[in-house]
Amino acid sequence: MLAAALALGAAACVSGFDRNDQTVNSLRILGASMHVDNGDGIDWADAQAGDTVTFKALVANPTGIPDVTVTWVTCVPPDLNNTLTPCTNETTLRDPIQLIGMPGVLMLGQAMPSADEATVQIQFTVPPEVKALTQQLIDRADMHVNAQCALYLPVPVIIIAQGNGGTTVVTAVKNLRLSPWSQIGPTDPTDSSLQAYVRNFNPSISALNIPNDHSACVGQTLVQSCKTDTDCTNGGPCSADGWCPPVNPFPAGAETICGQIPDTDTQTYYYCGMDGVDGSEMEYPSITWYETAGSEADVANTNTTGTPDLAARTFQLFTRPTGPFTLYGVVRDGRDGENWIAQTFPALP
Amino acid sequence: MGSLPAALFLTLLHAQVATPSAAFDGGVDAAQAAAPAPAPAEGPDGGAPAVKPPALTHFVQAVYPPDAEAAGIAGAVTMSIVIDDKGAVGAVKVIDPGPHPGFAPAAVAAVKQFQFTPAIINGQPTAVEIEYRYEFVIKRAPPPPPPPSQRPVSLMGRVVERGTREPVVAASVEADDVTTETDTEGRFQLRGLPVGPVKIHIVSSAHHNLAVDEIIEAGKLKEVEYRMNRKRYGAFESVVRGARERKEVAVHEVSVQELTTVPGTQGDVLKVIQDFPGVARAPFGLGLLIVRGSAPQDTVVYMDGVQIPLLFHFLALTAVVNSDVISGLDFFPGNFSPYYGNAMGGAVEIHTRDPKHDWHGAGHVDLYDGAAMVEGPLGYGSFFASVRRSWVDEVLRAVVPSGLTVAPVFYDYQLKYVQPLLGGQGQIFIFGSSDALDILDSNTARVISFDSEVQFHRIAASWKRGFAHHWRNEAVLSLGVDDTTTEAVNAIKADAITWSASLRDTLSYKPSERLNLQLGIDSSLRHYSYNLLLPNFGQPGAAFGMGGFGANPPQAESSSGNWAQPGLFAYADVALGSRLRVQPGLRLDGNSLIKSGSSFWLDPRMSAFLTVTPKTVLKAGVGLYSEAPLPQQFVHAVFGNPNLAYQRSFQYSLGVDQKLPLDVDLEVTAYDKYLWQLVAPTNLVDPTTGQGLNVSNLGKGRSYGLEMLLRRQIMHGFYGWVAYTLSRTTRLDDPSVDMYGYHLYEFDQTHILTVIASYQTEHNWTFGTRLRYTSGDPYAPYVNGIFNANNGSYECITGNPGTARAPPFFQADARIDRRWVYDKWTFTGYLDVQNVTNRANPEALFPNYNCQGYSTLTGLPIFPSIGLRAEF
Repeated sequence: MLAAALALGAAACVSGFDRNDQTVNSLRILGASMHVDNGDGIDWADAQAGDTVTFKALVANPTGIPDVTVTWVTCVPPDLNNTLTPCTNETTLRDPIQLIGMPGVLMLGQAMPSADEATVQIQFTVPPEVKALTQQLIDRADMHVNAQCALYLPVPVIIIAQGNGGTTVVTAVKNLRLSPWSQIGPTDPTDSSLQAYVRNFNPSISALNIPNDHSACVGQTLVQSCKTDTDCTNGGPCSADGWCPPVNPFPAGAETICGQIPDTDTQTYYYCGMDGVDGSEMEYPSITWYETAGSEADVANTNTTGTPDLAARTFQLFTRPTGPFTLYGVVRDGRDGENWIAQTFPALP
Repeated sequence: MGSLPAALFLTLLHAQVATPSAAFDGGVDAAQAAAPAPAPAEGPDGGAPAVKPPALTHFVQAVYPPDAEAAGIAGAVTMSIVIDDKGAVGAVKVIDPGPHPGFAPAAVAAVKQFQFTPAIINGQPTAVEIEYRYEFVIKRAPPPPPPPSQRPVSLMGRVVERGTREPVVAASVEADDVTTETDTEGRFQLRGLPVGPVKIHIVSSAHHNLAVDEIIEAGKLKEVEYRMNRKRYGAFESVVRGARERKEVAVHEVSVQELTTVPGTQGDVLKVIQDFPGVARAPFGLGLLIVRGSAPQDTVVYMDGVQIPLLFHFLALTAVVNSDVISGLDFFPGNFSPYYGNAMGGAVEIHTRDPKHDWHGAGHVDLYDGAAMVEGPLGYGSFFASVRRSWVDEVLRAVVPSGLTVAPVFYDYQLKYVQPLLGGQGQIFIFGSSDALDILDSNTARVISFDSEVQFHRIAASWKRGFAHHWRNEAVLSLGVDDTTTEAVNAIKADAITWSASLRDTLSYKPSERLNLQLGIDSSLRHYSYNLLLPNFGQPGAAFGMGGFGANPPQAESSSGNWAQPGLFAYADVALGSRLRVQPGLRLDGNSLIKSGSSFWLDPRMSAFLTVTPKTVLKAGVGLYSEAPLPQQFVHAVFGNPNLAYQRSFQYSLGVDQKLPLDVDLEVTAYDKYLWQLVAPTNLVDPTTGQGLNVSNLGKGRSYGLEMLLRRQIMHGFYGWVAYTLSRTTRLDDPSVDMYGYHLYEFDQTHILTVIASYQTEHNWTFGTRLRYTSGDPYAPYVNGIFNANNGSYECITGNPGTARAPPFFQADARIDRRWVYDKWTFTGYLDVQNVTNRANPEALFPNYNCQGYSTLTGLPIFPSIGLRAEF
């Protein structure tokens, strides 16, 4: 069927395809992430029983819909082989509002976005019952060597944003990776079946730049990340979601922009075949760009040095509007790790 | 044609000569001169029965109209006459009255007094309809000839068809009032010609008349070869149709000529199956056979009695068999006889022809592939060898972007040898097919690769002969291998190989026309071996990507083993009186892999035919049709359910065959089919292991409808048909998944209409068109979109299945053929244009980015295809 699809793609035509998905002109959830702080300075994405997880959602509300409330719910599957729960059931998801309060659905929390921050968050502690599930992961890895590289259970978390008295509803799903992280990798080298999974952490964007070329995201910095005001070269203040004020004004005209991803944020992980570990490969994080105004276009790979497809994954050709706008960049590592930048730029003088 | 209960139609064209009585030379030897041209000697299993045409034994000369004689008017009357199984002439219909109004009545009056030997088909006298030409020629009375034995042979030779070099049989060869006729090899002798220049006149009904000047030298024998131009090349004026004993309530048979010139098929004979009633249109023109609401895998395909796993190369660009070696095909949309088993859908039987005994060959090229075929004598028999190879990969290489490799390659081959053996006919048939597709995208750091190869190979030995007058045995023993390999990035790896040994043997006893008994075995032994690594697609009913795909690691398993598929069938054809035939049958099948319940199942079946009038036959069929699950559905618990049982269906149909004027046949069939124990996805869990069962036998379904086929068989260069199906097909899913009750099947198409027309001129131009209209396929509409923050796209949530329907499909195709004929070879070029109106037919609907609207993937735009073909 893949063959059919590919070959047919050349012969057939798609008409009416709506590509205007990067312009945000209504209430939308653009990103969601989970963060676990184990006190080691790493922004972990995987959790296990007892971890306190910070659930974040990037909620864009460009039209200012009032009274937006964001609700996180999830359903813990009874076992690894039975993942059909209300949170994954197509019939239930036709109207996700009914998940709130439904038996078998776990309410994680609720929050309201502030007026000046697109990021909204809650915290929730993973209940101890989950340990039985993570133990099943270990048992499965012991029995099936090809499962050693998948020592995690992605539990779908449903995020429901309601506004305007419940008349406007948007929904998103984000996997919370449950892994027995305290037992895997170098923690317990005696069990070979636990060596092939690499606990995931979230990637990050350290700066928004206008790059010099396509070989790397290095050039004129527009915005840089921060943890404190002193991290900002322009003195700050560092915002609640970790961004300094723009270093330079966003120029007019078409500009290539990029999100700088620290090299240390790219993990190497293993993949398995029928006989166990087949090899390893690096994550290839990518950034999806959104904006409340302006126009964008993809950037093709033109460089032959550096990381070959870096530009296609993380660059964007963008023409800003003359008025103010908000730019969103969501980075994903392909393994449920996620982060973003959300920055509002003033109008051109 | 005519009033033939056996639906037999035999077209032969004969010439007979009438002369003014006053000048007549004593009359022609009717028996000799009317010896009909033998039909092509197809073997009993070569797709058509062995035929001995009728021979004229009593000739009555027509009265030459006096005014025509006085005016010196000569000409011919062409008639269609029915000869019954006693050899008597029945209905006579004038096709061409000739140049004088008095010719036709005189010819009809004479022909009605003719007496023939009956046509013999498969050893039995059979009613036939033939074309007969009665020529009115003004002659002078020659002097009484001396006895033939006293005349020296002056001229001898052979008459062959120009281009094809086929012998011209039963041609009249005349020179200086000496007349003879060519034999089955086209040979003739003329005795006693006068010395000096003579003009040789050669007349053959299917060919343009030929006149040649020769010089006869005293005492010398002259040897010659004459080449006649056929009036319509490729037109099978001597095709036997419908001669099979009537065993099926619905069977569609087509000749090669019809098959190869249907517009939109690029000359591929097997694509025509999709234009018959009861066959739903597959999306994108893919080669799926969706017959009477059954799943594509429910229809079996046989070639010369050997089952093959697929009918088309990838994307249905062409069939897996070269059309050059096919003599015809039978398509049974349902209620077929016990000869076929383990199928709930339809059955397709492809007949390859026997090799010719002279050296011939053919080759063709088109946009997709090229093929070559050669045949000729070998040892005590004859052979053909054919091979085809695609070059789509080379075409794509020129158009795809740099860094992207898309290399689809397919080939197929057929090698057949036939010779007399132990009083019968033996043959070895070796054939196979391979499709490979490699896709490599090196434009990204993460290289995307996809490799797939599907191939099968068969070697079949068969032998058939009749014995002890009423007995006949036909046996086919075949060995085969099916090999499938698929690998995609690091997520999918699948290698499966199946070896098989199959035996099909049919013993027939036919003591009279009123009784025919058959007993047969249709069994196979198989050995399988596979290694699988597949993604976990999650549970039925789960939103894609949400607890489903990606939630669990790929699943892997390796396995090997053996299984047996025994099959027996028995069938009787009994005439109850002169109008009613009943055909009870029984089919016993088994599958050693089935562990739930019985491994064997019994399917009783019954058909009946009532001849209401000579032109009207009512027909009915009823029976059980069962089918084992696919091996991958129940071999192992990881991907299937080892406890599956066989699937069942109950089918019945009622219909009428009506002969209409202008050589048109009308078939109308109403059918109803119930399906149960269908293999369906399930969320049930094995209570002992806690593992999901994946699939169950709890699916149900029903399909019912009305099929109509209005068809004019090829005659005088024209053929065409109108096929229409009105149908409704529903399914009921496994209760653990079902929340909707009975819903429309994904390929349910309420209206399916196909119109085909083709005409070949006497100048070897062929023009044809095909029009198709079908209702759109049902689908589950999207009712919600959920943003998937894991990948940045939206997950579309569907509503109830079958509650929306895609827009209808319409397509018009056109085809022009031109054949150039040279002395020893012919050359053909064609232009086959699909979708001449360039209609944007929606083939699939895709949601927009947030599932709040649809975009349309349209099918093929206007697409011309050019092909060239040469044959000698």
